[in-house]
Amino acid sequence: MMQSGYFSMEKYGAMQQPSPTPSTPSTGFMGPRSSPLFSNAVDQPEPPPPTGQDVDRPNSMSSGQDSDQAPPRHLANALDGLGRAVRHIADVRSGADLLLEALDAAAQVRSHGAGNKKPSDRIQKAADAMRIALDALRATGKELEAAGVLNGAQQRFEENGLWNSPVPFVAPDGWLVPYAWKRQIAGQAAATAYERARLALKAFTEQKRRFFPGLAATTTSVTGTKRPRSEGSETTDTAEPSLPDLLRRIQPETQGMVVTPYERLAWVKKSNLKAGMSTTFASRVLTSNSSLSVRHGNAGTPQQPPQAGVDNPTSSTRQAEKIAVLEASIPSVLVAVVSVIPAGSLYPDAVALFSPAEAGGHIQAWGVSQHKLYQRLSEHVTATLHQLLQQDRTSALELLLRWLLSYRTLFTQQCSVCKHVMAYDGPSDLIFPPLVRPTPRATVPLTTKNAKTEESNADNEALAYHLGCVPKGME
Amino acid sequence: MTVKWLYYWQPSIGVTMSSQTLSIAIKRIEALHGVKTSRWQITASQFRPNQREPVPLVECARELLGVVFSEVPDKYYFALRQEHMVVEADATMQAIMEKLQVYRNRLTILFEGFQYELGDFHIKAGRAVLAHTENLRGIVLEVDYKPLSSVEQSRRVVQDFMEVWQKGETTGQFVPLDPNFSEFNLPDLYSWQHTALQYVTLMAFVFSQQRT
Repeated sequence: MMQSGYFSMEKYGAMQQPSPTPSTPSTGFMGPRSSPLFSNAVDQPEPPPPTGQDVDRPNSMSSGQDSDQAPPRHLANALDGLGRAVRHIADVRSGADLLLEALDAAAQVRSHGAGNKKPSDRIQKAADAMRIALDALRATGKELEAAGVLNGAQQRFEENGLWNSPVPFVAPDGWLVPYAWKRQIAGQAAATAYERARLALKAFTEQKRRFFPGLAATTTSVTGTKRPRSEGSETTDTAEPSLPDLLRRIQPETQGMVVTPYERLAWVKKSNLKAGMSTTFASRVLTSNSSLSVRHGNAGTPQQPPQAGVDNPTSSTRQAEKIAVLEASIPSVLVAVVSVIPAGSLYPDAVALFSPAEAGGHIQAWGVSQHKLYQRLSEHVTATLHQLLQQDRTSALELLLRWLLSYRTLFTQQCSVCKHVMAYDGPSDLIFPPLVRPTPRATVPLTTKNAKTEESNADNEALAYHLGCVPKGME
Repeated sequence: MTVKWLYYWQPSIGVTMSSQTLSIAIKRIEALHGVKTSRWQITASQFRPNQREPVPLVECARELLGVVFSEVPDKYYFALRQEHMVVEADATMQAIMEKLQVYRNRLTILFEGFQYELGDFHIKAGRAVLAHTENLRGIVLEVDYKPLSSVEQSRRVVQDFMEVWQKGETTGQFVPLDPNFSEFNLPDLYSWQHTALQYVTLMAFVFSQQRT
């Protein structure tokens, strides 16, 4: 009986739209409800076996209800019976669908005037199938009742309160119920988690302010309070230099590299937009800022055109706070995407490098390039970024950008050790140009170890190494 | 579009060229774990105007060099050396020219072989044969560096790659073909027109080699 029920479901599955049927009692159907149902309250007899409407009812009985008392065999039988019941319900549902289809076909055929012998057969078949399934379900239900599996299920269903949330509407198509429930519970959990995190953060910052008054106020604040910004280009010791200032400062010194700020959403839109463009168009777009703002002017978000930051610093404050993605592009060589967290601050979070010809949604600061060269380069750059962050958080972004500028000779400069441009990269068979550039040090000497490199930053520009050629002292 | 560089085989003094060379080249690629991906075929033809009438026609190009790529079957590229132009036409151009009989196909060379992937390099290794014969005219290598689209940036890269790749080969070497793109007003950003020019130059070179 069980077998036939299962296979008939398979057969009909091809003819109807797929409806998710739980094949075991232990799926999401049972999920939110199985755990509290371990009590052994005295119970009244179960109402008559359920029809296809109350799909959740037979499953509200826990498989664990008898687990502390019943020997394994009873448990196995109970599970078996429940499984059968579930399948019968599925049959009933599929039979209902079939019936509906048959009726629909009959209606269509009638309207077209053809002979209606076939549709009535189908209707008959569908009705028969449903009747069989309902009978089977009734039989199984009676069995289960006799075995005592359904005892107490009704009371348990009501008394547990079900996580103190109202029962969602029991749709005729029962499978919607657990889904809606799961979402509701997840939503509540997420909301609670967020609330608690916010309260915790508030409490911690409060305490920090109380116990560590000397610590400079950090800029990371989940609650979204506006932090004090310094307008104009002067920077004090306590307030941090702002991002637009940095960009403005860097621009004249980094000839050959173009740094463009974006809001995060604008960047996502742009990278998805580029996926549809031809490569020639894309590279032209990348190499000129003005054309970029013109072409994407109506891409949706009113993003900050880079020139405006230079012209009127006062009005750029608001948009500067939303800058989250920086795109540093050296035309024809590489495109670096740097993500800044929190938006508008100076702390780079992630960086990735791509070919200027690449287009697509994967061009994000966490994305991976299609080309092995840029993949390896991204790894190296990320490692350096973390190194820089460890040394000095505030100057990390600036140093990173300057350092990226030194990669403009990536394909033309030969390695200072082996005097070739291309060389094998370690144990792999890949051939790369020199990927290693000496990391920049801040103008203030940080450690004595780097005394030699800091005195001539100009010399550093000429140094480049393959990954396998890096001299030991530089690691 | 990614940059392609053409190399043709120059045998050392005293060594004759044979298809053995191609198998040597392929072995080298596979030794570096190159992965064979597909076949490729490029047809380069030379057209001369049909001068049957004693009165010369309205001014037309003296010589048309046409190329068709198996990767871009719907386009036909022409290079005009005197006019310093590379033009792109639809593939039906061939049928039109047949019908019009304005230009006659003098010679055609077929470049064909296999394509391999070696990290970021896509290498096409093949031979050049005169069409409708099995006359081997040369061995050709096309190196395609995927990350770059600029001719200038990739020059050194591919040169060094070939140096590394060819190290130790005594029977001859692959010589790069360096057509002057600027003469034909082609920009630094690589395109199929650049490729067309390269193959056309190669074809002309192969013809000139045959005569010597």
